[in-house]
Amino acid sequence: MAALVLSLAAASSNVKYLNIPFGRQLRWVVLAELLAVAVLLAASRGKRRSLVGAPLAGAAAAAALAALALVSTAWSPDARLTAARAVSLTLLFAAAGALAYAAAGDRRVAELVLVAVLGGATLVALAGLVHLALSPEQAVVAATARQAARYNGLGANPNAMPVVLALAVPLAGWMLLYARRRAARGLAAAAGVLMVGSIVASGSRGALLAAFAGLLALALTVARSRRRAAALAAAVVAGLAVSLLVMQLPRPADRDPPLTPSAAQRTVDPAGAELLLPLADEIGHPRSGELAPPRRLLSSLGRARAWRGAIEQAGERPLLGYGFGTEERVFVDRYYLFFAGRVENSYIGAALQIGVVGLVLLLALVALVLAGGLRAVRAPRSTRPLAAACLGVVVCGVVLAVTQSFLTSAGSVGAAPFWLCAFLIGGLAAGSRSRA
Amino acid sequence: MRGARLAVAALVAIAVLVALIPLGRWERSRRADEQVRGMQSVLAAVGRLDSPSLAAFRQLGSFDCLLYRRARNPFALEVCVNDRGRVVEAIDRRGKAARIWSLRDDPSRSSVLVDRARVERLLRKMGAPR
Repeated sequence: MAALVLSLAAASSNVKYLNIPFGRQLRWVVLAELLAVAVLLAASRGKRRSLVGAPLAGAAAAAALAALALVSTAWSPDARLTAARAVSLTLLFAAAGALAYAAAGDRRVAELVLVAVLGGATLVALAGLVHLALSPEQAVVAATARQAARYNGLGANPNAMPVVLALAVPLAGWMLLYARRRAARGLAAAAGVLMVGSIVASGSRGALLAAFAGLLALALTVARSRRRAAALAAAVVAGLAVSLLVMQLPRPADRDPPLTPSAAQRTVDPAGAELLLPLADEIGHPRSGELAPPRRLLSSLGRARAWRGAIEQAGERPLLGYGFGTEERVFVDRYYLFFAGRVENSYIGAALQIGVVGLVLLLALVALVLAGGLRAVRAPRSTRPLAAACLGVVVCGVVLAVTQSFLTSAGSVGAAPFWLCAFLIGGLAAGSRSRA
Repeated sequence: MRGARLAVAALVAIAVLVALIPLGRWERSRRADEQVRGMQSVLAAVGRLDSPSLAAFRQLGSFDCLLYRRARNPFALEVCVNDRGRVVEAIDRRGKAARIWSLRDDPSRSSVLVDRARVERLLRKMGAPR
């Protein structure tokens, strides 16, 4: 599991020898290995577990989503791409389902998965620091007149690695609260600080908010009294406030940095329209003499416009979308203040790919997971902390999905940790029912 | 009994999924037809590709664009063509907001064809690099 997190991060990294030709292939090998291990683990549990109620409904929703993704090959502009991505999502769901089945009777499986995700994310954060020391010009995006410098770490952009770091923050909180040994609690605290610090340095507001939303969910569900819940919640909110303040400290540059020699060579022919009105910047392009507004804490001009455009585009094929896995192919960035090949909203991205039908299935699955999580945290004490940790990750992921496209992309750095924890909730709930 | 119920549920699910295929393809065709109509309207507004109002060009790797002046706007109308002569995008900027018709996601669905060789000549005439 930790290897999967690392290989997914490598596939999304800005380090050329990690990304292409290594990381992008390795992640599928590791996913296949995880599936094999998960199936063996599930088979070795021996005793059949009864899958009824919410876990059964969740399994059905997940199966329906995967099936729709596969069938969308029939109307996709790139059938091969759609099929490959649908198969990878199916494999991820299968691995997560098998692990959840194994965890139903043995909570140690759940503990191992959570510790592995936390370990993998911590290694990603540490690797980012090593990359900063060795290649600072790649690990940091230089400040411009519009925004302050932003920390990439291993990521191809400042928002990439914070996805997996944010998802792991509730797990650091879980380990800090429940690890038996002081050394383990110390490591968890250090990992949490490292991950939150990396997110703050990246300037990724969505990831920061999501990380603390996950921590808040953990805090509210593990507290045994209202007083303790209030104290924990206050600590989380204070942590978020401090982090936001620190995030605002770096200032934009006085002027844009000079073009590098290679970028200067790529400037367009002066007779071309691309110099004056780039197609990728058409919407929201400032008029002559106007300056683009600087990036602020609550500003979202570029993203809001891009989302509106993507929703309009989804509305042209509303029921079943353009085909699973085609988000980057279908979405065209025409927005001046937006810099991404994807919509950067998992819900709109899902609507674009598999239409309203697919979006409803996805939302139903997420709702079932959340409901299952709330039930599981009221279960016997032995599994409550585990369920709370998983619920924290899911809440974090649900919030993060508003500002990042990752939920339905098995190859993205955040999908595996999210779905593994989501399915574990079902496994823990089924296990509690069996014991009852 | 439970096994039978599961089998029935699975069959129903498969039937539903198979029924979605013509629906998904119909949505694809309907959108393509809409975009093609829009592109044709822009081409009609442009008139001849070598019109004297040809004002600028754009080269973007997967397609090249010709831009036409209307009144004081040198980029009022834009037609983008891929290497097979298919129009993959057309833009009308004569109004307050640009109206864009695009089949960049699925160029093979565009039935609007132009003479690619003529586009090449026009690009060279405007000084576009090869």
